[in-house]
Amino acid sequence: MGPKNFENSIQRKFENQTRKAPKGVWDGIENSLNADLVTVYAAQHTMYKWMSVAAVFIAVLLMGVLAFPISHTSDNQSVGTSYNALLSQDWDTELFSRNGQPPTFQTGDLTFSPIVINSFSQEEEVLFNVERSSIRNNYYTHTKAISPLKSAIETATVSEEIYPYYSVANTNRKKGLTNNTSKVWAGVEAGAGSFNADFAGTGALSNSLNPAGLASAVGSGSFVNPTTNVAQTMEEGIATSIGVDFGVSIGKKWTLESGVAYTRMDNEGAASINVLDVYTIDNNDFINGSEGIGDGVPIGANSREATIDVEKTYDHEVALNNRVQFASIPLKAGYFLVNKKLSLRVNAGFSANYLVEGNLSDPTKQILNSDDLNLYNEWSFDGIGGLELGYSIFNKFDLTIEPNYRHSITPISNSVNSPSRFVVQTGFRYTLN
Amino acid sequence: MSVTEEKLIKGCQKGKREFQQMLYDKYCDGMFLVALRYSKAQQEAEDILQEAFIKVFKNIKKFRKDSSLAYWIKRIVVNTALNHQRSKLYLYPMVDVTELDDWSERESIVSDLGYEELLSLIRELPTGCQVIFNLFAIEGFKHHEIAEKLKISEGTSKSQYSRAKSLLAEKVLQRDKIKYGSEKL
Repeated sequence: MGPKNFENSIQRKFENQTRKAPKGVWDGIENSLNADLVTVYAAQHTMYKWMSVAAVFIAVLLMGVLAFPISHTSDNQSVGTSYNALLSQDWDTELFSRNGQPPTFQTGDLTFSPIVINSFSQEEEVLFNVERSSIRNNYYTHTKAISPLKSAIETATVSEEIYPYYSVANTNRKKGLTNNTSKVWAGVEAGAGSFNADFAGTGALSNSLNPAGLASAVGSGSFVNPTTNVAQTMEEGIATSIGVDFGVSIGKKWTLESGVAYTRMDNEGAASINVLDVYTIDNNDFINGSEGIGDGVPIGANSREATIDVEKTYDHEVALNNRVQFASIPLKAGYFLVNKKLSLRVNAGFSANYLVEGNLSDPTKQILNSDDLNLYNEWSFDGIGGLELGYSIFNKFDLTIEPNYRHSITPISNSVNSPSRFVVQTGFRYTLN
Repeated sequence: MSVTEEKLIKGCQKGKREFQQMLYDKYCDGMFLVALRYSKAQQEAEDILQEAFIKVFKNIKKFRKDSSLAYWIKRIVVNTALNHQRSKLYLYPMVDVTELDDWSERESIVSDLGYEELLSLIRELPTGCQVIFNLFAIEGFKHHEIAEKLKISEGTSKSQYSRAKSLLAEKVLQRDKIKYGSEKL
C-alpha cells in the first residue's frame, strides 16, 4: 500500500462519522456564555452607576437651589424699606426745589447728606440722575404719608448706613447687582485626552504570570523549573471622563469649583517574556506515554533508554491591555482673565481619585493572572492646571472648553512611573442665581 | 425548525442563544469525534468540545465564508485540542525513517481496522504520536505544516508519524495475539 493510499483509507474511515456528544457540554457552554454576558453587563453597570450618581447629584443640587433660592435683594429691600420710611416724612419740598439738590434727610439721630453722590462713577451718576427725578416725584406723591417704619430707621447705626440709602436708587441697576453678587453655578463636563502610563513595574508582572498559560502560548509543554524575566512597555493611552461640577465666584475675578467625575483610562502595551527552563526527562517515559517502562527493559528497535538534561529558553511577546477606572473629586481655584460674554479663566487645583477598577491583562487572559495584580493605589491625588474658555449662549448658560494637564501628586500605581494626562474637557454650566 | 446556514450564522453573530444552540446541535456530534481523536479520556474530549464551541461563538463575527462553516469549526476544535495537548508534547526525533522497510505490511494492518477500533487505538498512542498521526493522516496536513504548527522540525514530525504507524501496527498485533492466540499469527 502506497503512502497516499494509506492516508486516504484512514481519512475515509472517519468521513461522516460522528459520536454523540454528552448533553452536559452544552450546559457548560451556555454557562460560560452567560458569564461573559454578566462581565459585559458589569462593565456597563460601572459606567451607568457613575452616570446615575452624577444625575442624582445634579438633581439634588437643582432641587436645593429651587427649594432654598439664594436671595441677594434682602439688603436692598431693607434699604428700600428704610428709604420709603424717609420718603414718608414731611419733607421741605421747597428746600429741594430751591437748591436743585437732593435734600438733607434727617430722622431721629440720623442725618443723610448727598455727599455720597460724588463717589459714583460717571455712568452711575447718570443713572442716579434718572432716579433722582423719580425721587423728586416721590417727594410729592408721598408727602404726608404715615411713617410706620421710622423707629426702625432710628435704631440703625450712623455713617455705615448712609451709602446704602443712596444706593437704594440703584436697586434696579442690573450691572451693579451682577458685579457685586457671588455667582453660583452647576455644570456637566465630558473630557477626552491622552495619558502616558507605564503602570506596572516588571516585578509585578513577573509575579502575576500564569506558567501554564505561558507554556501553552510558547508551545513548550509545561515548565518544570522556570526562571522568568519580563520587560514591559506601554503605549500612550486614551483617557475619557464625565462629571458634574459646581462652583462659586469669590469677588469679581476669583472662583472656587468642585464636583465629581468618572474617569476611564485605556492603553495597550507589550511584555517581552523570557523563560529559562532547566529539567531532566526520561526518554522511556516519552516513548511509552503514560504507561511508562522500567529502566533497562527493551521495548523495541526504535526505543532508547536515556535521560536527557534539557535547558530551554523561550522568548514570548504578549500584548497587554490596561484599563483603569476611578472616581474623582476635584477642587479648583480659578481666576478670570476675561469675564464677559466670552470668558477666559485660569484654573489650578488638585483632584482626589478613588480607584474603582484596575485591570492589566493579556487579551487571552491566559498568561497574566490579572486578578492577582495589585498595581494601583486605592487613593491617589493629581495636580490640575488648565485654561477654560467660556461663551455665554443664553442668559445663564455658558458653554465651556478647557484644555488641562494633570500630573500625579501621589502615584496612581505602585510603579515609579505615574501617569500624566492631557485632557480637553467640554461642557456647559448653568448659573443658579 | 429548519434554518439555513446563513441565518444560523447571522443569528449567532447577533449572539442569539437559540441560534447558538441550533448551531451546536448541528455540529457537536461530528466535532466531538474530532475531540475524541485528540484526547485520551472522555472528559478531556468534552472539555475540548466545550472550549472550542465557546471560541466559535465568540469569534463567529470573524467568519468570512471563505471556507465552509463545518471546516472553520473543525479548525477551531483541532487548534483547541492542540492547545490542550501542548503540555504533554515532548517531541524529539526518535528514528531514522529510512531504516524501516516494512511500511507496507504495517500500513495494511492498520488500514484494515474499522473506524471504532482505529479510534480506540489512536487514543492509546503516546500524545506526540497521537497528535501527529491525526494531523497528517486524518486532517491532511503536510509535515512542514505540522512542523510550523507545533514549532518542531519537519524531521521530528516525520519520525513521530512513523512511530505512530509502528505503534498502531504493534498494538493490533498484540491485541490479535491476545484474542486469537499466538498459533494464528
